Amino acid sequence: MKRRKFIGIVSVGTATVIAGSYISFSGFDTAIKKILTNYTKMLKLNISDKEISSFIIGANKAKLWESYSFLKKELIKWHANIENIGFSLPSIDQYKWYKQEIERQFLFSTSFFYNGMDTTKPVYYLRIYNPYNTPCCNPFSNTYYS
Amino acid sequence: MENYDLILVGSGFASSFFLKKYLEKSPKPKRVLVLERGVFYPHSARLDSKRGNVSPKFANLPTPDDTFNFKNKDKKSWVFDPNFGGSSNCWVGCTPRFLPNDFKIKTLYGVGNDWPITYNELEPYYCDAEEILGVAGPEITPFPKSKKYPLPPQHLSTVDRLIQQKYGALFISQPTARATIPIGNRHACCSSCVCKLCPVDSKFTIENTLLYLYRQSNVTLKFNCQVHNLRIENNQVQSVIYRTNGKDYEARGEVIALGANPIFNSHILLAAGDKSYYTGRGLCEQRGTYARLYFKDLDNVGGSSIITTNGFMLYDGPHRKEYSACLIENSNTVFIRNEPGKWRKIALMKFIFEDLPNDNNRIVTSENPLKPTIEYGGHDPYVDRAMSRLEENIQKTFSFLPLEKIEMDGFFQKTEFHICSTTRMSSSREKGVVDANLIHHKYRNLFVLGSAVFPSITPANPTLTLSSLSLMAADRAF
Repeated sequence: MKRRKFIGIVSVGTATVIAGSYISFSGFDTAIKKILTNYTKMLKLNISDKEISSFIIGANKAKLWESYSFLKKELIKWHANIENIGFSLPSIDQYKWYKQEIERQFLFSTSFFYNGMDTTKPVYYLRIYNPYNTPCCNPFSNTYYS
Repeated sequence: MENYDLILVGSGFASSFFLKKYLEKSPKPKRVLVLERGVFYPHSARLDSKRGNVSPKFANLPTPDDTFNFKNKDKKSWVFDPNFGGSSNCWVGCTPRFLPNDFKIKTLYGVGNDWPITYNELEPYYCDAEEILGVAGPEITPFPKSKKYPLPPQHLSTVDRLIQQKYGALFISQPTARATIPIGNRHACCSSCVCKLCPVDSKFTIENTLLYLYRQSNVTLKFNCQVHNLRIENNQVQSVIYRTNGKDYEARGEVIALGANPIFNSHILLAAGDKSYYTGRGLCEQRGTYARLYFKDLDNVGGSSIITTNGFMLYDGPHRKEYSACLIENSNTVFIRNEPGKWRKIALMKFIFEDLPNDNNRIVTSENPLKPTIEYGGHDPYVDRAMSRLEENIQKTFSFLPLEKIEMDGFFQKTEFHICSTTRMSSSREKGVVDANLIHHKYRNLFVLGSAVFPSITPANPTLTLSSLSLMAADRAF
């Protein structure tokens, strides 16, 4: 094996190990933040970083991710970190489904739907969406549309 | 042995409505014993559990699946709440009436079984039951009514209004026991949309409306008492045999009423040696499936409660000779399209089909006295024929809306939560288990209540009808 090829393989291997370790040891919250930052940018929402952070704090307090298995969390973490860099990992469809679940939970926890889905209005984090803690919260009901 | 004028088995809709009428009609206080297999699990404790505070007292209650066995591999889900108040604790509160033609589908369409009573006979009891349940509903309905609904109707969504313009009385604000204004101990529904356990206690439950019946001095309510057999002599039921804390007891009654669900009512009858051909046979429930209607430029907003409307456009008609009637429910839960700008340009509709009671789907004699055994081979092809036409029927029915696409689930939900037809009513002993007054054809001091007596099940929710039947049975007998 030529020296240049050897160095190339070692470099790629080292980078992979470093990236893998980074993803493994990075928290689940980091992945959530990444997903939601990308999502709110894509939607062109008028929202500050602080609101996303408040949602993450609220979600942890409400033990929102407690029902997620270790494997589900790892899948979300790996995909969220690798996303948009030119290739995708296996189980991409499942990841998309999980991601949508998180995005939906986030949007329902903000003022977005209560503002009539108007993207020009500032969006604020309100509380974690849970009808048992906050009843009457269906933003599409007659309570919000008379 | 203790003696009672009436022994009731169970404390759900069937028993409670029977008890209400029985007490009203008794000239002097009668001694009543109610045997409930479960416990009193109050609404407040149920809410606490949803908020993460599960009381150790209620942490290990049995689930429905713990209460029966399957003989075959098809472990279809049958859902109920085996505690005080029965399925009033977990129902969604939908209370459409059956249609007059539902009572004579054999005569009209050559399928299923006719009822030994007519819609008109049941109509006054429908009115009474709607009053007790505090039903909210519209003025115009596809079924005749002699009285207005006691509560104002729910709000229609933007999509509902368009469909109602087209179909009028065939597409109505859903009649519901989710209160639209405060009534009794219940608050007004505010569209939390988790009705199986209402966060604001808006839907009718036995606990929030009829608990007082069980607190009367002449009514004894015992918990953790599972009735599993009857002592019968000379075709009269003498007593019920129940187990509590691992030991059997017996209570004697002049009149006995089985108000457990169709699985347990027939299990008790089979254990007691009831040899009627139909006892236990005909186990069925409706089958349901979802479809999503995507709109080009129509937001679906402004409706109230969890289900805003009922559609009867695919329900009654000559097609029932060939395939099932179908009831439509328009959902108002917090679904969205994950597409910017099109968030709520979508409707989520449920299509519910009637099944035909099949004699081979049944409760069979069980080795375990406390656990019924179910033998279930699946629903009738009548339902599959309706399912195979559904997409085409949806296209035809909703083509006037600005549809972008229709997305079909294509599969049935695991359950519709409505167990029916294991002790069918009939005009003669040869064709069923109970008569038109819900009295057992052979044991004339025994009432069998609930949706078990439905000779045919229709696609409509059964609770209002079974509650009305209980009122009728007690009214006619006492």
